[in-house]
Amino acid sequence: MAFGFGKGTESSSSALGSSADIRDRLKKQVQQEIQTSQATALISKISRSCYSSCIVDPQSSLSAADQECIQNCSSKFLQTFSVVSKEYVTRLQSEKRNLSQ
Amino acid sequence: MSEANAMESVLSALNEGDRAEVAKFMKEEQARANMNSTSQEFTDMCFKTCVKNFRSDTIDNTEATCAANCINRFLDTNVFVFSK
Repeated sequence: MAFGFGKGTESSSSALGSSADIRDRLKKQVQQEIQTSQATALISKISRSCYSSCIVDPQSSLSAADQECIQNCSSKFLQTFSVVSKEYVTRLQSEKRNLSQ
Repeated sequence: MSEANAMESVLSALNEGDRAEVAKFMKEEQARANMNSTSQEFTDMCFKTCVKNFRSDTIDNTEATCAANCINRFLDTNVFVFSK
């Protein structure tokens, strides 16, 4: 992870900015990097899953039917991810409530 | 400058309050990232089980219900296996 803070300058507080400034930039950068890595992982999963489902008999190129299947599959996968994440969070919250009773 | 040194010098430029806030933030982001990763794994599993028709680009109620049941039954299975 490259921080891009004071590149090619002395690492003194004045060159990097105020503490609050650094704090906010650091938080933003960490958040962006995490989001990027999660998005990459998700895309990888979609690729693998939809290849499995759609390309049963690999030919010398992706046909129009192949591409449509992959597109529909990707769309459905993302919707399923949404359903599953929500359900998971809901379940964890209810387990937490059960434990505190 | 190595990455560890870069991180060190950035953190040392923070005052105590901001450093604590960053530490708290990192912890929360880590937890959120773990949740997201776990959800992705569950989605992989439940998608395979529940979604088999790719002539449409939208999941229907049957598929959505299946996915919700899938994750819940998996968690139940975990609890059950652990308790035996």
